[in-house]
Amino acid sequence: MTTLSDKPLLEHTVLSTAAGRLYRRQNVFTAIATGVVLAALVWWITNSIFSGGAWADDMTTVCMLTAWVVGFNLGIGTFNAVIYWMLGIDQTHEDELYAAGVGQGRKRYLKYCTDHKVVGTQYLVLVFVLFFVGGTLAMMIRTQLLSPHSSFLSPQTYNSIVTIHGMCMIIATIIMVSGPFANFIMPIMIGAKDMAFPRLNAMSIWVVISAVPCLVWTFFLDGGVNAGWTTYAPLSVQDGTAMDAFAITIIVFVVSVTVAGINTIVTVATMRAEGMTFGRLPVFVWGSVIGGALGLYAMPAFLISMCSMIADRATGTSFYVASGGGVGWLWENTFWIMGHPEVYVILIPPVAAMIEVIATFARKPVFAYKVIIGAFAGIAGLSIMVWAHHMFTTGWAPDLAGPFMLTTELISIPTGIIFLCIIGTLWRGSIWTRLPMYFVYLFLWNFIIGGVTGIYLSDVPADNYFHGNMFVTAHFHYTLLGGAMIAGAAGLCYWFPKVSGRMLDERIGKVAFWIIAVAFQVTYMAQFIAGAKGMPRRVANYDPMYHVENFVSSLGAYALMVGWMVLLYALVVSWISGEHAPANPWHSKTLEWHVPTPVPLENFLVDPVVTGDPYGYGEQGPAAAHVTFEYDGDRGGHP
Amino acid sequence: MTTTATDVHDGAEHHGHFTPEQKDRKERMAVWLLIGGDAVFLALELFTWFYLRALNVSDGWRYSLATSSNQYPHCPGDSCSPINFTGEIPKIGSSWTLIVTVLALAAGAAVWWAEAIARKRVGRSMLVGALLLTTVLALAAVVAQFVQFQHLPVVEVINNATGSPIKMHLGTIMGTYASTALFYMGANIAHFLIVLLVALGLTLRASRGKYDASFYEIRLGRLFFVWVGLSTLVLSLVSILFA
Repeated sequence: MTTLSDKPLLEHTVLSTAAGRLYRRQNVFTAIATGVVLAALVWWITNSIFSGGAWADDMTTVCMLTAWVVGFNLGIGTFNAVIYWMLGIDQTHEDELYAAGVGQGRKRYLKYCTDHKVVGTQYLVLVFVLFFVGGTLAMMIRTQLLSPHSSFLSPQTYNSIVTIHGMCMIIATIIMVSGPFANFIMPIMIGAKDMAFPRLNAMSIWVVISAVPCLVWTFFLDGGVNAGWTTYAPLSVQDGTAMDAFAITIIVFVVSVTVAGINTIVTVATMRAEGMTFGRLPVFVWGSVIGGALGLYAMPAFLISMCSMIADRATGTSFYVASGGGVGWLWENTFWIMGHPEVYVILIPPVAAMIEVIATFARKPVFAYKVIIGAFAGIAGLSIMVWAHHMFTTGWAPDLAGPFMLTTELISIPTGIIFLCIIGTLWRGSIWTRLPMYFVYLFLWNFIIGGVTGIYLSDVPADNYFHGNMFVTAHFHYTLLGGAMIAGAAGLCYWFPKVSGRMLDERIGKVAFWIIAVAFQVTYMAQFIAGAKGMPRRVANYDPMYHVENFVSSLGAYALMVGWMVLLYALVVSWISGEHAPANPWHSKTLEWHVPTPVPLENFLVDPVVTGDPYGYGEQGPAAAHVTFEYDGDRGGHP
Repeated sequence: MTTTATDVHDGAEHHGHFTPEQKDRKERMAVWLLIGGDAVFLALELFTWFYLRALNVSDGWRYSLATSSNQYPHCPGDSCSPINFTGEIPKIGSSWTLIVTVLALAAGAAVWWAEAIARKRVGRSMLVGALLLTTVLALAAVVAQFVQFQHLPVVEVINNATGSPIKMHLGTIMGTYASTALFYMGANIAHFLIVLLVALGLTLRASRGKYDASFYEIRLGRLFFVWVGLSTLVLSLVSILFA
């Protein structure tokens, strides 16, 4: 009988030179080359066909960027399996192993790789890049606002920077947890060897990567996108061709999020290990599923708003052109039908990740586990009934203002329940205050401010004053940056040893934490004050009466950027030369900590059998074990 | 220590290697979720239609009052001087809409038939024939939808500046009725192209004997194709009955 130590790891398999077929020749460079060539070809063709027409520029831009996305994904290998399937050519096991990165070393990170851990890492890097770009743009915004009549940026450039900062951060925050950790960690948490659809998983990351250049390119087209991240019509219909690039970015992003959401739900529904009942699923898994499901609801609304806007711009329809029967309210409805659920697509997975952190470091079971899951579901359900609170001041359906105010305020009930459950989990816990817990405390502080100020904005009379001013800006930064992103940072610090195989340098991490914690309050408290005094948002110049608040806010923002850079430095240095991480440095009970670090391909070479509560920290005896590993003698590996 | 792929592959759930039953379960759920997302998109298409129709901003749904004066909102062709006109936008012809809908539903029915053939193990050639019919019908739906674009009604309106009648293609003179109807056609084409590609793939695979043992992919195709047929029917009914 084979012993555990005799069996080889799957990643040490030696593949024949034929394995992988076309995948062998494809990487990010072939993708860029294919994308550029196809885009140039389509540009030439469409320019020839539509040249001189009223909508030639828009049509050409749309077709060219679509060709870029298709070409890039052809070049990376996204469509290989589909084409092989259509031709009736099945992938061999060797092909699958090659696609999973076997024998490719670090090069697999630059290729279409189906291993969920590689995809998760690719997402993590992409999130860092997007945050860096978005953060740099934020610094430019704050520099412009340092003084009332600054000429650092022209008004048009300022508008385009505000727009791309917004969309960059929205994309980054949507994928910041559901990308890296729902890919890297979640399948291991449920005892799966990979996601349900590994190829779709790889597609989701490469598709969104192909969209990023479109977003960045908006700066170089017609002076950028000037309509703000909400791209309200008819402003967006009247904008230059940069808006086409913006819309293509969103459409491609929608495809990615939809595919990823389906993959997450199917993975959890069908790939759980023996004994991993729904009642034993870690909270993060529930958060990923609910976030994914909400994304499936929200993204079609994003798609229809962007498609109809492109139709107006590139084919002359009149969805949003008043003289042709169109109306901006249509945009506002479809956009916010997406927009408010999207807030919870951003928020739920990081909060769920943070609850994992809390249970582990409080050494206590999650307080009211089922209530938390119910509250997440309640938030998701209510979030699809609140969109019009973004439109209180637009004059749309005044009779519905009351009902929408009510549903919006109702959402604070499940949110408050989650908050109380977090406090309940911490209550009388033997709290081990490591770096991830620092971020948990900061989240609690920030989110209570973000949540309470949200109630003001849900109130119709108060919203009439606050709408469109800096109070709103401060509010959503408190919830999305101070809430979701800080919760995401807690998850990042928590899972860093498993993802990187190294321990995070907590000394530098704590320096970063304190800078972030203090600078964040300075930056956004000042904006609350400016907003309460009536300063409008989205303005490049402002009345001198708001100078002090803006000056302080800008200084805070610079310090905040420094804080994030220090954290990034800690992450990079630790990843390169940090202390090697043991398999379970936090003595956690959830499954991802019971596999070796670095995690082998297919995660479990011995099938896990879940036998207990993932949070049974107080339990003694056999009940204390969350998982056992069942070795049948033929499967190989090590527990 | 190294080994070969054959050594480590024990037929279990390694990358991409699931049993047909496992694949069926996973992929069926994925298709249902995809249909769910598509249903949200359909609902928003209907919302767009009825919302714009109810608002009828600037009398622009179909420029339905023949006596009113309207300004063509965009620059047609090379000319960038808006035209003031009086006229009414005609309905999009129901015959082409009917043809497109019947073809979409027929493609769904054909793949349903193919699934029945596969289930009863009638024979590979019969199965390939049924799937080929599905492909042809899907292709015909795509073509018919494109043809409908080319046969949009010609609008005759009065140029208020000159008093003379002008004929314009519906596609170049909008209003929200025409905009939404054309958007529906675009959505139909996107769906039909997906159906066409999947049907083509199913046919080629069937011809290679891929469905001799397990045919769950055909069943999944049936699920999606029928959905596409039904959603086309809904859009067609709306665009004909509520113009």
